[in-house]
Amino acid sequence: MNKPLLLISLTLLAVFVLSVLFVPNFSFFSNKISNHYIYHSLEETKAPNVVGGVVWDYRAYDTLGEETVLFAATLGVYMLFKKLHVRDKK
Amino acid sequence: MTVIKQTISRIVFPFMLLFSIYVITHGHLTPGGGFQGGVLLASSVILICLVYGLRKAEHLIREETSHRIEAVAGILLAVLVVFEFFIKGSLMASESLFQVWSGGAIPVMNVIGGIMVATSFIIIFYSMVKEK
Repeated sequence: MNKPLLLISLTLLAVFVLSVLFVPNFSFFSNKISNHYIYHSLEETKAPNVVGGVVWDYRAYDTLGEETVLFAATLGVYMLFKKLHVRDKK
Repeated sequence: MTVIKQTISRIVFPFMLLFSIYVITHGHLTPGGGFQGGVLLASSVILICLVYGLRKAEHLIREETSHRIEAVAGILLAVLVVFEFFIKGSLMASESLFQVWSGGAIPVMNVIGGIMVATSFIIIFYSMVKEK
């Protein structure tokens, strides 16, 4: 048995179990920020659709990451079906 | 495909196109937005491709064209998101709420994101259809 590997995995297991045990209640951290979104979204983003305001204004970087994921998925499907993967040349 | 499907899809297609443009451009007012409207826009092209065949769908939008449009839309969206804080006040500036021409940078990014989602789904569908 690999001893340091066992030690690392046991430490990680302990950390995860402890973090699950001491997790705070739901909306302990996010209650303030969600109330702020609901009550101040119209005057800050000028968009009546709160979801649109959050997605494209407050969390625009998250949306940019989503579009990047979509772009990467498109590229992957294109390469998979066009058989563009790199082959060894003989 | 049969005559029934061809007739029904010929009637339904313009309404799908119109509804997708409505969902995209009213993304900051009503439920929906760039992603949902883009998927609708892509599915209207996919409907034509399924019913009338690949050639009729390529009359609407070719694969190389959708590649180019997606690349340009992705670059534009990245630039808009990065510099959103600086151009938010000057883009589509309007004091009136609940209007189409309002909302700062949100409608512009909805339109560009919708175009990008639509073209990427069209690319996925075309590359699956054309596979040999």
